[in-house]
Amino acid sequence: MFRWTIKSLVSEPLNFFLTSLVVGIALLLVIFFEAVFHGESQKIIAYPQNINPDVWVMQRGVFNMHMATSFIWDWKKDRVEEVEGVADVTPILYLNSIVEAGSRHWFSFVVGLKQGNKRAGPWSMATGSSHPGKGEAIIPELLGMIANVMLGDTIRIANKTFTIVGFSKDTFSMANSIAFISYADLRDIMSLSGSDSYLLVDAEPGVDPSLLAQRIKENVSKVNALTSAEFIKNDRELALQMGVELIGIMTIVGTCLAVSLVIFMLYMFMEKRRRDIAILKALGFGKFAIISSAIIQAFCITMTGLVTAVILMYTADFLTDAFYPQVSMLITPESLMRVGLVSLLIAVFASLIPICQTMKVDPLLAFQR
Amino acid sequence: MVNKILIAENLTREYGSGRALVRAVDNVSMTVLRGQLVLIMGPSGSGKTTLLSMLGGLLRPTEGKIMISDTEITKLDESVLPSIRARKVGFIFQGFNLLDALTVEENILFPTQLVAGGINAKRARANELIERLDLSSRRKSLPRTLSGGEKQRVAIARALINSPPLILADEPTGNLDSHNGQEVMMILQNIVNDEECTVIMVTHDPRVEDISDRILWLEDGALRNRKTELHSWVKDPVCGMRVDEWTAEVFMEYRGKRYVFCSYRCQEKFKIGPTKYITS
Repeated sequence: MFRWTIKSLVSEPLNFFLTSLVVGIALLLVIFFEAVFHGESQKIIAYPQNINPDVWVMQRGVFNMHMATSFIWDWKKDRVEEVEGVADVTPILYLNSIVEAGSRHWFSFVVGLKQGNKRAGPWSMATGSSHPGKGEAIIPELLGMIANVMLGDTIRIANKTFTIVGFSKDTFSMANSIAFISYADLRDIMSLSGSDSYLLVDAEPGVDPSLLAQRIKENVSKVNALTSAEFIKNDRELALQMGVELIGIMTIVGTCLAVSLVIFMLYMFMEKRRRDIAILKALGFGKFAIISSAIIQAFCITMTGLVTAVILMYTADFLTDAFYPQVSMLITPESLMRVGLVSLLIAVFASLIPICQTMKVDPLLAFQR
Repeated sequence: MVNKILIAENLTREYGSGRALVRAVDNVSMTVLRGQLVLIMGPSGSGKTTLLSMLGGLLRPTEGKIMISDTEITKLDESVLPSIRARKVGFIFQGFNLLDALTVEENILFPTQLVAGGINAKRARANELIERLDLSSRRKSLPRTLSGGEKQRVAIARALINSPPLILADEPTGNLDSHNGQEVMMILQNIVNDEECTVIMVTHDPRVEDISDRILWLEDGALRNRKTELHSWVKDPVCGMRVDEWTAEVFMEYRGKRYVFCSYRCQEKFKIGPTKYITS
């Protein structure tokens, strides 16, 4: 019976391939939305992840960078430098704003860098300078391509004009990008004097970052200090939280669509086998054998669909990288396992339809001429 | 009792209710002995296939009882009937009904999963049937590559593989040309002689009458004395061709009168304008 179950499944290879493909596309929807969201979330934390100081110091009550505002008096930099175990402190200014490049407007993290800073600027350059001077800006290479601007062209940030002096890599996503300008320019834009946004602290060799963060909080008033790992974790969680509902909705939509498609394809598949089922019944095969066969076929179709979905997903990832680099996708083992589990549930649920179909098949159908 | 393979008593099968009640099989009783080749004949729509379905345990009678080699199948639960069919009845259908995904050998061995010992215990029997039915060269072929005659031989081998005491055949030659039909008939006759099993066959094929042991004539769902005439010739009202009313496949009622046609084409023409073809 098992042999027939499998052989009848693949006896019409085109039919089986199309069924698996449709089911695979349905499951792909579930993986795709999650992969895009994870990819985007990963890009949102690109700055703290790549700059990676030992400790981040910020205004008390602030715990992350994304969508946050932090102000600390600039004299507190000196206090932090005096804390035992601190090797170096780099102040940055930071603002969420819109970069207007060509005809495009892109939400961006704008980071203001002091002259001569060694650690807070772009970590990978495509071309040009990595140190913006007065009236100069460094923007992501991909944004430059999308907006069709080149070195020497001008862009606008918060109604102020800047000349592009460099293009950075890995600083762009669909949701936002990272632009670097001089500390002085950003201070003017923000109408500030005597304050920084964040202090990037490097510890002396052998000093535990978590102990150093604790020490900073104890010795400098009204600041929060977090290790890089904690800071990044907070940023990632916030980014994911913002998309949890979206992911949930898309997963439900994708799953419902997948269930509907799997049920439809299985229904069509079993309809073609009504006569075979009638023959099995006439020959003396009982309910258990026939139902088991239907479940195995539903399971095989769904699992083949899952494999197809994973192959399509990695293909989509490759093609996106090649042709739409602005879209970031991240396929995690967790999301694949989750979709695998969802597929199992789909298979169980969807097999109810062929079970009902097989129960309804009258063995007398075998007598039809 | 041992010699009586099948006993059917007062079998009735009704469909619908009230004024729409149709009695497809009406109070049929019969006893069939081991090693007999019994034909069920009669006009189309007389209830032959319904009767055969009941005898094979595929359809429950509204009334009456059926015993197949000492087992009263009409009393059995639905869950038990499939295993009775697997062990005691072999089916041969007009449409062959082979499983398209399986090879000739796999089709023949397929029902062995339902009996003790399974495939391995019946492999020698399968080989013997393949040899006997001249299917050796087609052992690994798929049904779609076989001729009609070959398909029916595979179906016969499948029906025999579990050595059931009773074979039920529904128009086994209906889809075959005269040469292949003759061959299948000879095989079935040999089976009755060699395997000592009983074959009950629904057929319209008059050539089989010569090799059968008994002929049961079914008309309007009931067993009746067969008319002495071999045919009842009537005229197709559309083309005027002579048609045998007893065996005609295409017929319809119009204003309380039964009209028989040589083909569906003539019937369709009649439906469009019946008055054109009716002469008072």
